[in-house]
Amino acid sequence: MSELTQPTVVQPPVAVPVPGGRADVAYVLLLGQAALGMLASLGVLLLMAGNPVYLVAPLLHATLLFVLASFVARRRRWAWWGVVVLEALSLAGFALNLLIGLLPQVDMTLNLVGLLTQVGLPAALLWQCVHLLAEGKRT
Amino acid sequence: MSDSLSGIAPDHWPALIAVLLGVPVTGYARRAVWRRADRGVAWAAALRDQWASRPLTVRWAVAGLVVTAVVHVALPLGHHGSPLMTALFLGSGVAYAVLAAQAVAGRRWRVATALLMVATIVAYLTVVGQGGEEADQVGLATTLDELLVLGLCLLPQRAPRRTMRRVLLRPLASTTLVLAVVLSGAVAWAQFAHQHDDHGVTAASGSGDHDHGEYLARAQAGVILRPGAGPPTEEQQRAAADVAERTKVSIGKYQDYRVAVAAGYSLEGPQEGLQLHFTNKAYANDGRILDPQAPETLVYAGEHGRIVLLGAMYQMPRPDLQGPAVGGSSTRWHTHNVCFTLLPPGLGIVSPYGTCPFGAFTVTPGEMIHLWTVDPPGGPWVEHLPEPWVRDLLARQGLPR
Repeated sequence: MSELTQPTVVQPPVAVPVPGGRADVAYVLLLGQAALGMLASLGVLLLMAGNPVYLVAPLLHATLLFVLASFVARRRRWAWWGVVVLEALSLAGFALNLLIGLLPQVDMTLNLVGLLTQVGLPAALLWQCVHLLAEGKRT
Repeated sequence: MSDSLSGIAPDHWPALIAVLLGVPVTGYARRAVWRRADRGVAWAAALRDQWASRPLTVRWAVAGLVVTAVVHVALPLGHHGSPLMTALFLGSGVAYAVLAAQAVAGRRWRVATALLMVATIVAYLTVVGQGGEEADQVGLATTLDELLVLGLCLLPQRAPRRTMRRVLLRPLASTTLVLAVVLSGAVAWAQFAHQHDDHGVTAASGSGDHDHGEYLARAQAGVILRPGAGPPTEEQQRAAADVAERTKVSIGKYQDYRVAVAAGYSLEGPQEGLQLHFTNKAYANDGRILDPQAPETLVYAGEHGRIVLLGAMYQMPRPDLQGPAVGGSSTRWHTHNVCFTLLPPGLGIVSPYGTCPFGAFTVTPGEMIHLWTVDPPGGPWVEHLPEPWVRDLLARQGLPR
């Protein structure tokens, strides 16, 4: 009877940073992605006779990823949104690359590590940040 | 799109299949344990609680550890190596599984995992560097997995209380991860380049290089090499020699590169270097394939004011057409997996981890083959010329540019 007269109060979940949570996973993945981009820029330098102009875009991209990684781990919503946009662009670029590969003049060679780094990694980052945004909204 | 499965060594297929099978098996096992936990089985409930209490970084690391454990345990199925190598594979696989269990149980696992990961990556790159095996897609994918686990176990957890140790450790761990990715990729790259050079010499000399490359269609670090077959027959050798001789006669008139330019060849890519490619676009789509009278590209060495004709490069008009291997395995066509950058327009080589810089597209042109008319070591169809040899030739026979 007393249970009816004194209903239990359900406490709303409290928004606390989760140590070692999605944000930290995204941080590690973003660092890895930045490092992979820096490695790839060496391949352009090699063919373009070391012309440093070709380093500008990759270094800007790597810097952006480092900045985003730092703020993603600090749980800034704008950084999560930034990663979502960037990774969506990466996946869209991959899809466009597949279409270009259908042209008769060129082909696109896709291998196991290429799938992991060009599809798996951006998709994982997108997944983590979309979840972070959703969890942030719920709390 | 082609060659999705290129670059996987036959020795490593069992490991890849084990990982692919491991995913549904793990999912099924997880559901079975969770069901037992729901029914009140104590050990299952304890395991589920332990798993649920682990941070996501640890759960990801555990998944990565299980993947690399499965790969190492399954490698001896395909690698018929020495008993010591088999024992090392099995031992490291078991060690990874034990560390994964430690991580789930909440015991210490990070230091041992980091050390074992670094040791494994260094050992793999050393074996690859010494020519013990060619870095294939399974090896590189496993290295990526190990680098991810390394990053996850090095990364100190963000805690509400910031201590000096954490403040220092985080950037240090981050820098280590970035350096590990770049260095491991650079080493794998250097090894690909070295093996690409070797292949030409061994294939042409007939001695054969019996690492994976002889039967593996490589698709790493910018080079896609068609698998080789057995030694060429006498008839094939004669045919290859005939094309080489006719090409040498045909392009002899282009010793002076200005004659080539007047005939429609134009320099593409770097202006200086030991392999300058002058391409004649009119020959690219003329329907003539491997025609000594109309090679698509002429290759020169040109630097420090001197230039010398090295030979020709034949190219197929479309990437879906295979070049005619007139000399059997002594005339192996190849192509390149290149990055096409937009800002600014340029070309690069795809990294061993399959990446291009942001904003670049990956393209694979038609197959090509070099034919050297300067009697290089390894013969006229050798894939790559030794740089010191080319420099010496340029110094001796180079014309003023």
